[in-house]
Amino acid sequence: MKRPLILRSPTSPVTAEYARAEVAVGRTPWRDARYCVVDLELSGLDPRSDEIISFAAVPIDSGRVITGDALYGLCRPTRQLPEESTLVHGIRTVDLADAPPLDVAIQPLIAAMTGRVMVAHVAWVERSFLSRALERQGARLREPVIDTYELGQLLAFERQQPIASRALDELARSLRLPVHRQHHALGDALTTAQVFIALATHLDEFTPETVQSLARAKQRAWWHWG
Amino acid sequence: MAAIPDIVEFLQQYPPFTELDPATVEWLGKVVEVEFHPAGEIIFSKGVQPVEFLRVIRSGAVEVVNDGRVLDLMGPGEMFGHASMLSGLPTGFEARAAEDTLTYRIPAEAASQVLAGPRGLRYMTRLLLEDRHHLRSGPSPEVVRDQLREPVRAAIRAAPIICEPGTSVREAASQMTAAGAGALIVDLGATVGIVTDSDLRSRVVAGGLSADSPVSAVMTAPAFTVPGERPGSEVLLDMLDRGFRHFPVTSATGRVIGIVEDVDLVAIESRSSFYLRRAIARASTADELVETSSKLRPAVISMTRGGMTALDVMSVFSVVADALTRRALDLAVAQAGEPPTRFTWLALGSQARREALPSSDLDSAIAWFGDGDDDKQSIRQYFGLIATSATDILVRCGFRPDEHRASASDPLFVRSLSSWQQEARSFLDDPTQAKALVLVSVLVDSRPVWGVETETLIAETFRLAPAYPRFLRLLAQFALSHKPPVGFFRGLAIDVSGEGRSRLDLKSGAVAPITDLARWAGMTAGVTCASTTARLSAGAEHGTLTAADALTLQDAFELVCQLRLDHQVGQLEAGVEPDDIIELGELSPLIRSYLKEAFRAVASVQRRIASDLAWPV
Repeated sequence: MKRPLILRSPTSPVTAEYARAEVAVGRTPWRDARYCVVDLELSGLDPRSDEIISFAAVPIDSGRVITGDALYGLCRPTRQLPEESTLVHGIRTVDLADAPPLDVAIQPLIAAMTGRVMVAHVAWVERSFLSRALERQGARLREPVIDTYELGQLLAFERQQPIASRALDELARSLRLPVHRQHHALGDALTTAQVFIALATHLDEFTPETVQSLARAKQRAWWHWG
Repeated sequence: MAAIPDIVEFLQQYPPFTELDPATVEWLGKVVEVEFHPAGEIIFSKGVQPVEFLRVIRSGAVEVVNDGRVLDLMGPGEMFGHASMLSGLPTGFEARAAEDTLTYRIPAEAASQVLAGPRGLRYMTRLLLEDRHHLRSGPSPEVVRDQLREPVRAAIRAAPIICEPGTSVREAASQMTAAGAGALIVDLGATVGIVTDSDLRSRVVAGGLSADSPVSAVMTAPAFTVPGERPGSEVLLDMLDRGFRHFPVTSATGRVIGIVEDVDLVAIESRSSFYLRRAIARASTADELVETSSKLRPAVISMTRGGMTALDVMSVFSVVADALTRRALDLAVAQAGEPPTRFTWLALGSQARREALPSSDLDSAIAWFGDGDDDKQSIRQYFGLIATSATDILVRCGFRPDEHRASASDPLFVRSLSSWQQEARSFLDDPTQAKALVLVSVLVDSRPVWGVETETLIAETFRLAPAYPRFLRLLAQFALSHKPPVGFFRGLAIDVSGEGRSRLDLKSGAVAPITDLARWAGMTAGVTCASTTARLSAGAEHGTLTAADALTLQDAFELVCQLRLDHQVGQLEAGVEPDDIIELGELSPLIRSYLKEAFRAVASVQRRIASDLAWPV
């Protein structure tokens, strides 16, 4: 699939609203912003050839996880799923036979992300897959994006603790938080959401955090190194 | 949108959500919001206007703080904020995160719809205390229990057969047979007589009396009657005490409205205690008595499994323990020869209160009649012998010997009545004497079980207590010094000092704080030896306790007794010597939460009393 250089106009009212909606400005104190925690399950990790097969979104308002508005959905892939991916998330090609194709399936996810700052764990994965999916619909992924993995690293620096693992479950446990169903988009999204509010609360104890400061966690962590 | 399954599954593990149907929990799951509270954060402060949320701890720990004191430490699955939410009153304490904590916040609007329903709101207090299926497996004991709590008149099955004193035995017998009745009433004008099946068998058939004799020749008169309003369980106790199987029941105007039989009142299982008592009374040697007593523990198991409540089982157990004690004394006296002076054997402690269980020690004392004989060697020797041989028999009957506490085998507990009474009065005058308050607690809980029973005895001395405010004040302070654990946390019972233990002694940790308070409350009302429940009621009537506090303590007492009994019956079934030590890790979360509620209730009554009396606790 070739990436378009120039975007067409948004292909659906949902996407148009996503592209247009106001998102919290950078200096908004972190608790005052609205977030959408996203987790994707994939057929593999290469955005050029692999596909989104399931997704979950969990909203956060005023620093609280609004679990009743959580979203979970499946997408029908265009190709057979590689066996190794099924081993990870337990989803088989046949399980997705009745699911809508990506462009249709993703509409509720785009709606859920509208007007919210995206949060994900090891966010480059969600960032790259969702960018592509959105571009197909004539929209760009909205910035900023907050990465809980980077927030975990930053807190480790602030607390002068060893660098945290990349694994979501290990990060959650190190924060003494529960780990929900792993390698299931909804379970991982809930774990990530809880990790996010815990990390943001802790970081806020050192210096008041804003949307912008949380989004710049990686640079701040590097600065600690320097 | 559906609730997140992980959240619903978590809630379903803990009360009160365990009580709700899955669709309701699913519905609640949809309104859950997850909050994070870093260690030290105040989740809400004391005295804030009604909290609008119920919170369930998902991970971490929350402290309940009042005036700087930690009253409780709550862990995953525990709920807070509900009291204020449901009552609409300001919060009574501060909730503070003791660790980094995640909570599930449920809006009051949604929570109260579910918790204010008949299955939810009262879960914290009475409903589940009474709803005993949760505490034990096996068949539901509804029928038996309800009958015992209802007025005894509800157990009457038919109008009584009433005849004149001149009616022939033959005529009376044929009327009883025709009606299928076990007894009939003889109208004596002001009083009534009673003729039972067994009277006919023993006095007519076996006694050789003619069938043409008048019933007045075989009746028992005047018969002991009971007012129809008394609860069945009390009447049952009277039957056990007096050894009767039939009681005429009277209306408010004194008219006989029917006859209750023991079988109407008790489950098949507990009838065994009648036969047991009969066998005990017939035992003519110590060996026979020991042999008979071996049936007591199986009877406790079957009464418990048959659904009798702990309070009822304790009463029956105590009555049988009395019977064994009496027979052991009969045998000891027969062996030792005629006593040099009349004397009384006193049951102390739980047996005196009729709250004994298989783990209980049978504490005892002797009081003899006679002046100035306390130093007489021959008298001391005689009673020493009686105490030793009676105690030996009782130990062989399976009761625990207790070297550390009150027992008639300790010379200190063998005295003349006047010496006992003198000592009791001196405690009233000067409660600061060494060990005075401990000894008062021992002496108030004393009840004569053998020998002279009618004259003024030791416990009665304390009827004067209301006239000694300083004494009562110190006694209250003493009673409040036994504190229940503040809570459980990760399998440990946390005591007031913050120390955690994995084992809990139900007797000293859970029962004693309540019995001590009840003893004091009873004494303020001039009540001496009585059951804990009766003392609490008396305290409430007298105004020492509020009616609500008395009820709370009674409920808590019933609950901890039920746990003790269930624990001991489990041990008896496993062939283990019964005790009161429970491993907290072995309790189900549900039972743990009941127990914790009971502790919390007791602690809050203790605080209220302390603040009424203006002491810092």
